[in-house]
Amino acid sequence: MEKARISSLQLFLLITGFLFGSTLILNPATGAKNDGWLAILIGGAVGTLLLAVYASIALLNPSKTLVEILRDRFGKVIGNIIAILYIWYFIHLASLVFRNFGSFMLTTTYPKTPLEVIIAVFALVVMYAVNSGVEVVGRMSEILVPFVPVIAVIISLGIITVHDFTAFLPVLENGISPIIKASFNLLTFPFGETVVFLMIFPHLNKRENLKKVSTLSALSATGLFLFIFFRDITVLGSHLIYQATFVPHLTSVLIPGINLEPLFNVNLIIGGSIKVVICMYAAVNGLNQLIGANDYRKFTTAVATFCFVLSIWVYENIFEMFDWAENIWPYYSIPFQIVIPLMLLFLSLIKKGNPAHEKSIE
Amino acid sequence: MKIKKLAIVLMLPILLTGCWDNVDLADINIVTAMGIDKAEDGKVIVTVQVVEPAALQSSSSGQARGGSAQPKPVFVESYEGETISDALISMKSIVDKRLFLSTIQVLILGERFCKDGINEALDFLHRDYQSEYLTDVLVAKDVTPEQILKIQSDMEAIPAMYIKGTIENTAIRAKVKRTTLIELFKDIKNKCRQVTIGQITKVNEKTVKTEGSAVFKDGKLVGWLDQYQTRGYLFATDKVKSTIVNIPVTNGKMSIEVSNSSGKLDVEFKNGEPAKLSIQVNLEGNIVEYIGKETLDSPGNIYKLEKILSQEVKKEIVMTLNKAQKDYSSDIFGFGTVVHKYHPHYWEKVMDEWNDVFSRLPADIKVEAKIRRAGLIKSPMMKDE
Amino acid sequence: MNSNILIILIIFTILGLYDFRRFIRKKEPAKVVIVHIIIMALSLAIGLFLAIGKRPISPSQWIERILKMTGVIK
Repeated sequence: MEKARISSLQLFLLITGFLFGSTLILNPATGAKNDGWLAILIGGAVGTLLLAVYASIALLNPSKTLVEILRDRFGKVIGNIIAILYIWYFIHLASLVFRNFGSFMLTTTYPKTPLEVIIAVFALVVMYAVNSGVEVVGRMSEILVPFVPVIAVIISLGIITVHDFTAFLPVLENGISPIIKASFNLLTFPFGETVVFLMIFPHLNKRENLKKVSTLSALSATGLFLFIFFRDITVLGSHLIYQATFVPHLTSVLIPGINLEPLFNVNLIIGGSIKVVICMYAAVNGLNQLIGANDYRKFTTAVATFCFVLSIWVYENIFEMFDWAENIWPYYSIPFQIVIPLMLLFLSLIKKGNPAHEKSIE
Repeated sequence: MKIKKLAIVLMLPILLTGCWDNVDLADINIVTAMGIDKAEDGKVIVTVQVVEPAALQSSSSGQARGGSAQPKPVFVESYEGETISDALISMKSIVDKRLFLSTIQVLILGERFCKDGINEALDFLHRDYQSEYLTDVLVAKDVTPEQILKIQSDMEAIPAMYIKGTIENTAIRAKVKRTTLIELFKDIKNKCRQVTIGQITKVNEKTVKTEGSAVFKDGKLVGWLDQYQTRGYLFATDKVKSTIVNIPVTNGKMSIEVSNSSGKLDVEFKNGEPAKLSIQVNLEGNIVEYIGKETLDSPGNIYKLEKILSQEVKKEIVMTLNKAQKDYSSDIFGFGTVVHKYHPHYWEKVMDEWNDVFSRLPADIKVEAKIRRAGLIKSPMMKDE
Repeated sequence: MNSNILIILIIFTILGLYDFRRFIRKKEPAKVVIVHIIIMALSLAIGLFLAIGKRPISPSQWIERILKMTGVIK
């Protein structure tokens, strides 16, 4: 395994940036209209629990990545099959982020640039980052991720003159079910997607901090979501939020006098690139461990090419993308994000209760 | 090897110089104003006002030289089409360059177009990435948008800038409802509040006037408010920044500049049904002109003036409310928002016929006026007899 | 015919060939080379189909069908 080490702060920033990633473009909480903040609260709380589950799995299986844990707990054959499915899932996730990102850029900023070109340029940069290794990505996050909240605050200050602070009323207008649906969507996108971090957790230099770091980052991401939701709803009102394709983008173009749209794009590029880099690293490294080769960098080009092709292939148009993100992605993700991790946690706990066995494995 | 690497690094910035479809400024037509109207047969007429940067330059230097035949700084073209985008694309057959819409300053809607509903225009403008959300929107009264855009003002070379300037000026004295595109997007499908848009009329070939506003119901133009009714509306909806109110006093008149005003809407409920609309306005003003004889030094006098001032403002609000309730049956104030927010269950039942409910409700209007300062002199200039 | 996709695919193929040259020099085990070739070939094949405008049924649609068949979603 690669001997790269990242600090607690870097991991915190990576998880926050990852959670923030494409949620900026496609925020599932808007499905609940005015009650989106309730959905964010519920989704955030359950999401934090889910992250704690992932952290516990990593703690119970010290310095092992997801692929190794799967093999240990499910046996070689089943473990390898599930590992292949996970690698597929990570590649799929990376291409979906590519596509979201590309579609957004296309609709708002680069209307005449072909989608493929935007994604390809993005993919080349991501390939370089993945080949540089986890340490470099961690240090990159230290420089870039702090910009995300700063930019969010700058945009909010810019539009402080246009507001309606009671716009989130009435509470529970359409009953509880849209909130439950939205919070479930929010749980699977983005919180559940942090299952990829099971490939990153072994790199943390101070293992005892893992739980604290993951909980803190989930909570701060929830806080940021809430902040942005309240900003958007006070400025736009619930009708427009429901109608607009890219909500925070709409907020950022409302600032009178200057055009802060590029700032918003910067925000998006930071979150999106961290998300893609992590997913692709997880996929490539997983593939590497699955085959038993010694260096994950051998597969980066191949996997990046595949991600690029898949991202073009995956949807025909933007409606399919939105429909998929809202209606199919959550159900498709349940086994990867909830069922298998819970089984892993359960199996790991059983093994832990039997220390003699644990020793023999080590 | 090092030189080779350096050469590659130095070549990379060449790739960073522009977008995919770099278009030079000389290759686009900068649109400063757009007008949308409907023809008799239901087709859409789109009018654009395009700036010629070169002509602008020569006209400013040309004036110094005493100028011979100058090219016009702007040109105005209209075209008919099935939809707005169709008209804009078809217009390419008569203009020479690509139309660049992000620079639109003013959007003028025709009366006939508004009567059929403005949702059509908003769909295109909201979908199109070039739209500038803070564009000012106006409705042309008794005149087509094309005629408005064809004026040639002496004050500004570009008519669009001139129109925008008048909106800004008039909005400061609260005689026109200033509506930006984003507000229309927000409210057009909102059942809680009906849309109002500022009104523009043509005075002569050189001047336009932006005063008053157009009242919409469910996206369709239903009527107009004059400048005083508009001000009453703005007072009630907390949009007055400053204005001059003239009040009658004994043996004379007085102008008071309102420097601070806040309006609050509420709907009182009784037994789960709305019983009364209430409007509460608090305002502060200074005396800026006084044509009369009494001195103003006693607090009692000022108190009387405050009474008169609040009566005047109240009169305007009552007039507007009556018009909105009786003539147009359109909740332009946004009382529906209050009902929706604080009585969601009742709102659900009444959502679709809220305008009718609104029209039936009695109203309670309270205006509190305070006069703070009287300027540099204490007694009036007029002599005591 | 989408030439942009073709050009991008060519760029990625060149990068892949560089990888390949390294594999041969370092005498990598056969399984690494095989996996690399499979993934590259698959991407290029799908990419070519996309470029000539014959889009194969996407994995998203497969997943949707499978989920519908198992009755998870309606």
